[in-house]
Amino acid sequence: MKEKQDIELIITHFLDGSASDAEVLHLKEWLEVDVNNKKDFFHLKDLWEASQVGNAAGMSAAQIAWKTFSDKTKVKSPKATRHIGRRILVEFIKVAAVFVLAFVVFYGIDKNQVPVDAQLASTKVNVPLGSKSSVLLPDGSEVMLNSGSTLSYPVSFSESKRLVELSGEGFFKVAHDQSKPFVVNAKDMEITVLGTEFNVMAYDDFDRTETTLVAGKVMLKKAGDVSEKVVILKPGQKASLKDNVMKIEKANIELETNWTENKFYFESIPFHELMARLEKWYDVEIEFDHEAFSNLTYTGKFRNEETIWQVLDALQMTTPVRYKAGHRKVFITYKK
Amino acid sequence: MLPGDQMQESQSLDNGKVFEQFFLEYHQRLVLYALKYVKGYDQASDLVQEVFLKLWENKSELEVNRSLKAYVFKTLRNHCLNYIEQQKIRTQHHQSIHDELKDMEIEFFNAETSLLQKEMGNSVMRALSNLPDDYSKVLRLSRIDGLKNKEIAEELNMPVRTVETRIYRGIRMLRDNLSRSALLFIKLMSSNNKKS
Repeated sequence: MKEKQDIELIITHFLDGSASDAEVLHLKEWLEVDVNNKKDFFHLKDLWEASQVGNAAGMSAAQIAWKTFSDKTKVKSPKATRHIGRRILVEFIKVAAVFVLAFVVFYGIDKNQVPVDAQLASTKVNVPLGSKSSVLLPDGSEVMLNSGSTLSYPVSFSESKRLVELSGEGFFKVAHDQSKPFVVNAKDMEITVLGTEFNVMAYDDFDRTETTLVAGKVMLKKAGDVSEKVVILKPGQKASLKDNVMKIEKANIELETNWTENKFYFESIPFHELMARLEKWYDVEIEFDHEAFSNLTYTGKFRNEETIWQVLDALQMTTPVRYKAGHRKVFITYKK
Repeated sequence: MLPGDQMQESQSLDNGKVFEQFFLEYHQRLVLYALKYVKGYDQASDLVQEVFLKLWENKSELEVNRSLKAYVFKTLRNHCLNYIEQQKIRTQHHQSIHDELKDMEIEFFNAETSLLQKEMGNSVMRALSNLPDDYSKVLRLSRIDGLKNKEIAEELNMPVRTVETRIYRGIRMLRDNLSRSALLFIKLMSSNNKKS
């Protein structure tokens, strides 16, 4: 047992590059004892190395290497990149920053194409269906955006407040600034904060808007409500606005925010909502008879590792449904 | 934005933009792969540059596709092996334990395919983000941010030993998860709430 622990420690040291000569010698002897040891160790080492793909240092090294390489071969850059103005360059750097951040926060997610509409005063980040992204705002606040969401924000915030507009779902980590409240306009809800972490769900095709507070304090009101009526949310609470009625309830934080970790947990959600989520995650269109499914609710969890077909197969096993696949389209029917 | 599966297949490498994209996407993976054979980042990077130069010379005949990717890894491997041979002749084998370990590894990967070659980067990243927080945090700091175990210990304010244990267990969990990733991780339960 002691022996086993020793070798584990030595392997860790070796991978980290901090193993002593004696430890390396010990490792080598251990490897020679048994073919399985070799197999075990070299597979671990391989995984250790492969998990560096996406490492920021490696990416900038690639950029530098490309510079050297293209100097050597005199690769002509495409015209477009030569004629871009300074402003677009700034936009480009911003997009690049989004990408880099996306690497750090969301390296588990396949593709992040974030087209940025460069306008004079405001910037818009669109996250396509089937992907996710992360945005760093001018004040240092961070927003992770779920599939099919849009965030608009000014290139630089005004003196008095930090105003952004969200359609879809976002998880906000707001940089603290007592003098400049951070305001999110999300469909029919207006959320005002000073510095905190919270999730906002405001998809157009969902019947309600939700804000879940993880830490800090937020102030909510209905959009366009001129009265002073505001709701103060405490950490662990969720406000949900449906048909102009605001409801406060205890939130399951993990449930509301684990999409940021590429997981999807759901509890007692109706069938049509599960389908709407799947449509966004997988960028497919799902057609079904709303009437036939109105009584079904679902609880479950999955990670975005499965294909849509695996999910549908699982669905088929638990519910009397059949599905048929078309091009980027799925038809689901209820089987009596 | 992770490398892998991003580049559209069957684009001609003869297009400057396509070549650049291919270069940027594969550079890091190829360098990591070369490091299985040679010691030192600079050396690995030089060898990768040489392989790209070869591609550049033949770019008009090449298209971005699976076989090109496989070809690049294979070319790099041969290139590394040639280089090692030359080095050995030059320095007369005065081998350190590290060299012997390297030899052992090279021999091992004669028969095995590296995850880097299999374009498993994305799956590894995904599996990493699905580990319990204690482990994924430490592994991220190590693999993505490139911190040493000692630096991670300072950053997280915990004993180095704890970091090391988590790294070891984490990487092992990662491996188990990867080999199990074919299995479906979904448990859907449906209930028939008849309201009416």
